[in-house]
Amino acid sequence: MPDLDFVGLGEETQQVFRPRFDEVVRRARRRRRWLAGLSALVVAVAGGGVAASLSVGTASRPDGSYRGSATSRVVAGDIWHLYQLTETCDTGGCRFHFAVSADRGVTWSLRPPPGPDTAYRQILSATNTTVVVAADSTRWVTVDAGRTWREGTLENRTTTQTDQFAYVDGAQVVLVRPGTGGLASVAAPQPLRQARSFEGGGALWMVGFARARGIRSVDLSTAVSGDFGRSWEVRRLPRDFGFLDFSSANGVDLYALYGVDHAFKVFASRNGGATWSATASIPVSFGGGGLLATRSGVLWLSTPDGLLRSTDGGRSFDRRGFPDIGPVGFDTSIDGMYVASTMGAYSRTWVSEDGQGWVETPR
Amino acid sequence: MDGETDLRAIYAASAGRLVAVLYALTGDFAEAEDAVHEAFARALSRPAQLRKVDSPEAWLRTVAMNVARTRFRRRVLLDRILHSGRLRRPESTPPISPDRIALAEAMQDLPRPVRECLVLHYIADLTIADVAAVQQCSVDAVKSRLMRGRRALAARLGDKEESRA
Repeated sequence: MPDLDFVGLGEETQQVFRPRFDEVVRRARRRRRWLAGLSALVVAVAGGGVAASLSVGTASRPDGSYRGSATSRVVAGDIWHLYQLTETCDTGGCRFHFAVSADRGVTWSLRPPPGPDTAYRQILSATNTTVVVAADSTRWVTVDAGRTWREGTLENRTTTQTDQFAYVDGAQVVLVRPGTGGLASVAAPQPLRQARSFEGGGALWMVGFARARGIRSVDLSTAVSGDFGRSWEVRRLPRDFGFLDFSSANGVDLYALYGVDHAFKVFASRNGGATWSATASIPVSFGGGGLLATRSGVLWLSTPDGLLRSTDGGRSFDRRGFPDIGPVGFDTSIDGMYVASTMGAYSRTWVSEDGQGWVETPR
Repeated sequence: MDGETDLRAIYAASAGRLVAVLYALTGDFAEAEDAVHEAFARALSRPAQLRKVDSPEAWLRTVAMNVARTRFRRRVLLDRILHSGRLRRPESTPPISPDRIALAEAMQDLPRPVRECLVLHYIADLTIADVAAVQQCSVDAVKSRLMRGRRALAARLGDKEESRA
């Protein structure tokens, strides 16, 4: 008899849902304009006049810093290159873009994204001007910051230290070679189920389930490889349920974030994941969260209520310097620059060279 | 507090739960998000409607379910008109464990009243009496639908497990 875990289905779906209230605002605005246009038409027809124009809203004119409504977080290719998936809408409909900044977010260029118009897209990895994007189930690669795209195909070659983490695809862990965009699967078998890659201070890091019990996956663990995927070391995380994020700046001090019962719980390990201890529990509103461990020792925690900071290894958090900005997504470039960004129509982006102070890019 | 601030608070508290309900109903995560955002947009563009109701979340759930139902009917109708069989949009799945996705997919094969019954009771957390009120049927009919639904899902998922083994 299989386990009909409706509660688990509901809870997991809630956890992966990314709140986008700006999308609600955008739709409501369009709806009001449409209703206003319809009323004007009715009045014009009833009065025997001619409705000269039903133009309801105009497209924003992109200037150097305009990039539309963000549908993904900002991903950093290096200290200069930032990437984001965006869309702009007008009365003719919505268009999707691959937004590129080559000057750390000061100005942006909007380029056509890869794949069909209706595809669900995600930026999987970025290293300098080499970016891997998933459009539905197809992987696309650009080596010139989105000017041209080609479908990603796996090469039969050995992975080396030049390769960077691209994505985990079921049983395959795929790396990408910056500059050429060549994809290659690592040699060692993928040790985890339903794994996701994470920033982990240079080495390849994944989080996923170590084994299956019936149709359930259990034993949430980290897997780390310091030899480009030739071998993996698997270590258990402190618990399975409620996992939200994982971060490490040096591969030794690890942090894991869990969301349970309207609170975020932070766990820390000081020995590469051999042992874990609970460090902080922060009551939060319902929503997702993220962690960013930086080389300066500052740990940043994104919550639905804003960005929190810890300077004592995750034991306590304060809200210093950041007003209520809602949840942010973090990324770290290959050369060590940190990016924090929000999504939606009024998206904001901050960059940090040291992980301590943030500078907001022009909006 | 203005209408948008109120609705923002309701969104923060209940949008995730509503998306979970709609995902279980439609088996399509993008469609679920879309229907929920549409329901909130309707509430924001006509704030007076929401002020009249006792439970904003229940109202939003009903609107979102109606949006999803109408879209499904339109797609079926268009598909029938064009005889193409190709209009089915690729369903999007959330990044959750495969057994949850299998459960959501299996639910799509159930008759709509049975599926709604399961979702409202087990995921939206409505009591059996509340589900009966929403579905405008008796409490016994709800109990019967819950039992039939669970049995059908168990059989379907059991078959899948056996074929995997």
